[in-house]
Amino acid sequence: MSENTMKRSRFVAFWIIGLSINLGLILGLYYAESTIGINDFSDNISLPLYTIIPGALVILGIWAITVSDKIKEIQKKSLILLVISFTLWFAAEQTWNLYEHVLDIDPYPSIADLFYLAAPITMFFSLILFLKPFKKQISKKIIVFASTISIIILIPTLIATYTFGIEDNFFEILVALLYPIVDSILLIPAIVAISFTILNKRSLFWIVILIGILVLVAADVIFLFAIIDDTYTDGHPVDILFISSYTVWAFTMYYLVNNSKSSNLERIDPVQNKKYQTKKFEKYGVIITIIIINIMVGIILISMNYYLEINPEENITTYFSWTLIMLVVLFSSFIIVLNSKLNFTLQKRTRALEETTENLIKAERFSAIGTLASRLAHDLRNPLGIIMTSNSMIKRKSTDAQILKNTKFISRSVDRMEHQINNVLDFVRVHPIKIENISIQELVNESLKNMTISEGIVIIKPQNDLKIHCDKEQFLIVLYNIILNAIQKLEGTGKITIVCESNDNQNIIKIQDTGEAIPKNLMEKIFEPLFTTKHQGTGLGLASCKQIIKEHKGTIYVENNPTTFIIKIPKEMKI
Amino acid sequence: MTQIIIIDDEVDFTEILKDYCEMSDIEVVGIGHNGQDAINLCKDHSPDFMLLDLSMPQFDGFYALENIRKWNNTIKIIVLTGLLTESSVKNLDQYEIFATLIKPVDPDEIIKKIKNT
Repeated sequence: MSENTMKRSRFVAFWIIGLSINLGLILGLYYAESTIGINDFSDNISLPLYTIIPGALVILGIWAITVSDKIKEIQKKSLILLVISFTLWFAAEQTWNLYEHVLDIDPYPSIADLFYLAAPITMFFSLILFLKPFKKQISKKIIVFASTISIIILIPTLIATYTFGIEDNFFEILVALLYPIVDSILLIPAIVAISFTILNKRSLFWIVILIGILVLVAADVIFLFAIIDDTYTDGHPVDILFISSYTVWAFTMYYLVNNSKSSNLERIDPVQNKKYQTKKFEKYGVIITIIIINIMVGIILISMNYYLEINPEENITTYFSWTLIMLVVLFSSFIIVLNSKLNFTLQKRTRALEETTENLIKAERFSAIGTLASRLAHDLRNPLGIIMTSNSMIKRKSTDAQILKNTKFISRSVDRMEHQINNVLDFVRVHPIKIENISIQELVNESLKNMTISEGIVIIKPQNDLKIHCDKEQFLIVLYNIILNAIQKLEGTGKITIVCESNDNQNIIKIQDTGEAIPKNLMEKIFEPLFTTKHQGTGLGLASCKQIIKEHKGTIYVENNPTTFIIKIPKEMKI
Repeated sequence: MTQIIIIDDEVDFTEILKDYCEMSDIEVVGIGHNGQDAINLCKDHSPDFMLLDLSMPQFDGFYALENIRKWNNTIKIIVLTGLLTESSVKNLDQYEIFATLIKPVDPDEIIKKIKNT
């Protein structure tokens, strides 16, 4: 089992244990309430439960949004909508708490109803966004099935609600009817998604989210009937269902956050990061703002509680103060976390962008120069042809020794120019390699055919012969360039030895010369494009060689004492 | 005496090559500067050889090859070109080319090719 999957399974185990402990605790509380009775159960237990759990859900959700770039389970838009729906539920519960526990009123329809109704609708859109990319994979049967189930649940609840509220005014009935309607609308994509995720073995995340939805819808239905029967009191067991779905969702958000940490996105090393330290204002601005807000809230609260007598209703002021303090602390810490994360992301992006831009400019410049060079090289061929032909003509017509000597200079210069042009074109041109089976001796002979070799230079050709797999034209360029380099280095006298051998899986060609050694610091540099020590070199010859050998999946390097270019290419190449 | 025509958009080159060929006892019966010239000269003189450049304005070497090979399979064509790319080699394969030489060409090599037949 790989380390990753082990980590994952450990995480899932931890997750399930945590969830069961949490739900167990809630169940235990209710059990304790029903058997021994706890004083002020609704104020001491269900009020905090309805505040803390949805609150944690919202915070974890927002945290998940901050790391959404690393989350694979859900698209960003869908996640944002999901968290908005959580926030709406949180707001709804808090408004409800305010009415029920602080103001001791029961307005209907109220803002709480607005929040309660908006939340499932937002979640519905989140699910639709999630399902959109898989539109084609979802069969119509599943949609029909989901709609049927939701209608089966909808009709009796609608009828029950309607008959219950028949004496109310129209608007009140309408709001009451909206609840089952909204729930059944949410149920359709939820059922579609749950069957889809289970069938396609998608992540645990969605399955749990969807279970939460089903639990919530069930809770809503039970709640509705409890209201109709007038058996609902605060602390009714149906609360367990509501709280369970919030808890389950909170855990999914935690799962997302935790999973994002283990995702293998790049880590930035601190040394490089130093360069991109943010400026002072960016660094401290947010913190200072938060401190100012905190101080101001503190002043307002203190003055409200101790100096002013705004509201004689003590209860409200205390409740309001505590809620405000809690919210300010929570959101401040959240903003700090978010800000640091944003800064970090920004730095990372900025650096990546700078690097990309730099590379792009470089690449563009190189390609422009490359195009220009190859066109120039190509265009020079025609005038060079004219010079060459004219020169040959003069050579043939003239008997004057001086003129003949000059024509020799001209043809040597033309040869040199031709070689340089070929260098440029060899380097710029992109060839797909055409592998043939060919003898090394044949290759060496052919590459020497077009070379002018001065008399003082002895070339020892390979004694044995090997058949190698290579692109003939390309390999000729390699041999030609290396041998020509050696000839130029020898300056008229010396020996060049070409040896071929093979080991288990490679053919090896060595080209030795008796010339000067190559300085150690240049041994790799000589293969870089545009590097040259000769005043007439293009710096492309050996670079082309390296490129060609690389295309043959081989290696080329140089050793000293004696100076030897070593080419190794694999014996087996696809023909 | 062997009769040839020379087709290349580089006027100086055709002139000097003509002189060189004549010096080597090869009769140059026509000089052209694009693919259409090549077709006309070929029809008028039916020479033994044609030296043909590939990249020329308006009607290029391929245009001439395509046309000439429809009715004349005897003329020996030597292609002189600045650049041989993979695709141009592939295209040339279908026209039965006598020889392909890359510019700058040593004129003696051309003469050798013609004389050795």
